[in-house]
Amino acid sequence: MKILLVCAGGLSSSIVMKKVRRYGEEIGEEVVIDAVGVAEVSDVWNKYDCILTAPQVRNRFNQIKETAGIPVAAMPPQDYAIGNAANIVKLAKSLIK
Amino acid sequence: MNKLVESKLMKWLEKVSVALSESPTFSTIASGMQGNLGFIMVGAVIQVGLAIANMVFGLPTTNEWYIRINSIYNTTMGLLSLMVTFNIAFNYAKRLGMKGHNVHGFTAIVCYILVCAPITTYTLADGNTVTAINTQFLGATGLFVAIIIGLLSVRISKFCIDHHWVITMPDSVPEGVLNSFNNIIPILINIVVWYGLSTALSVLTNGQLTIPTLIIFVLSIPLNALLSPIGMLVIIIFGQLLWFFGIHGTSVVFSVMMLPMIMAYQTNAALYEAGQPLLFSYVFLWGANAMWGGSGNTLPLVLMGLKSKSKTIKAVSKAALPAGLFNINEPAVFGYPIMYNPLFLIPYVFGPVIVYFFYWAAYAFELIALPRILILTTLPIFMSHFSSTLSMTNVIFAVLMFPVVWLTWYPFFKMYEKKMIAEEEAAEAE
Repeated sequence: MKILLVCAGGLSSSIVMKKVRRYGEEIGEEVVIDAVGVAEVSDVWNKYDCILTAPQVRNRFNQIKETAGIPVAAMPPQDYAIGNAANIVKLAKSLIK
Repeated sequence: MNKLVESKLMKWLEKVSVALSESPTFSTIASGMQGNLGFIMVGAVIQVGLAIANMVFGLPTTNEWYIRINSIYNTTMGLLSLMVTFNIAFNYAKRLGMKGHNVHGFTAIVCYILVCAPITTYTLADGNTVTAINTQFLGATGLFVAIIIGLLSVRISKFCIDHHWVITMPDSVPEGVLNSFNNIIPILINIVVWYGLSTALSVLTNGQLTIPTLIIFVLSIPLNALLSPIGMLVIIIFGQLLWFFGIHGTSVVFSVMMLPMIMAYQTNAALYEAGQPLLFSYVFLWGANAMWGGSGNTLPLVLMGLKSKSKTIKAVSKAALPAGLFNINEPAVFGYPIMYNPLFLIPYVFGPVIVYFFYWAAYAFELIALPRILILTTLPIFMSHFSSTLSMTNVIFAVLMFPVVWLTWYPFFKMYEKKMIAEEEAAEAE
């Protein structure tokens, strides 16, 4: 499963990214996850299975959806804030299947 | 209060921010500027290195090696507008789905140089001649002109291509050859338009006005309104309101504020180099909203929550602390949550306003140093206060602001904590 996280500059989403990576190791599943800023999405999206967007780029959601040819969903603010990896992985899985 | 959050104002703000960030023009300007961040950062590194050599090791600014190394800064920052012109045209052509983005980038550069820095041959006092370009508008001074020429030159090319004003070739001509011919007419028309306008303006005004001076003059009117005490207050409140609605307010506001910011910093860098006093600009007050823990100064709130009796607040605060120390505020904004939380509307949106007045006073009474080193990235606390000035007084000022920010949060934190504890107890009792 390859997930792309998107926030404004790739800073806050990289915190969430690390938590999801650790969670992936814990549950023994292969989770590839990277974090980028909105501006980079168009160049990298095709390497991933799905995109999860951070709450603060809600205003760019439609644009991201149009650019990328893979499923896109917004992470719930609470899950994003504390980096709830289990919920984030669950959301990604629901997109891909 | 809840009604306010769900009011028309909120819907309007959201609409504005979506429109701004989805407009091809605005997002092109933002990405066109971002493409130069690397060069701006290299310039900042050189500046910091030279400042240390100057202050710690006493290397005079007139030293031959000082000047040699400084010419790197003069090149990275001194050609900023040229790079922006290319980046904007390139990104805009890409965004509009046109072929050959590079060509449009270079077309814009050619037009920019023709208009702002035409190649001229000068006769020197000793009778020799030198062919040179005037670099006056190639640096940050020309940024607005760079954006306008970058965007409009692509529009002109698109107009030509859409109207099939291209040289047509028989089908047997290979695609590669065809592409280079396709661009001849758009490039020519761009040159005729820009150079024609520039020459006409120069002839009509006897050389008094040029396109760059005219554009800079016209844009200085709205810009001066923005760069005023009230303008900056509106900017800060607008950015905070967007954040309150969970939208990255900084990135929306930044696409506009980045330009005056870069200009003010470059002016000060040049003044510092010349050994002259630095200038104040109201754009420097923008820092008031992100002194402690990112936009909205959320770090004190996070620290208060660490020992809270509410389990939710405690958990969120722990998760938000490391990010907060790096001036990243998302975990606090979405976790506490601050967004859509009427209790936090006042400290989050208007707390920075209080800091703003302190900040302004500190600059006005010359208690803190004026910034001159442009570092356009999020830095950890303390670093962010130190880096733009290399002055400890600015760090001390930020430390003195901490209790002020703390106090703006405290009563609201207490109210929220009480509410959360009551809710948690009720949930447990069930």
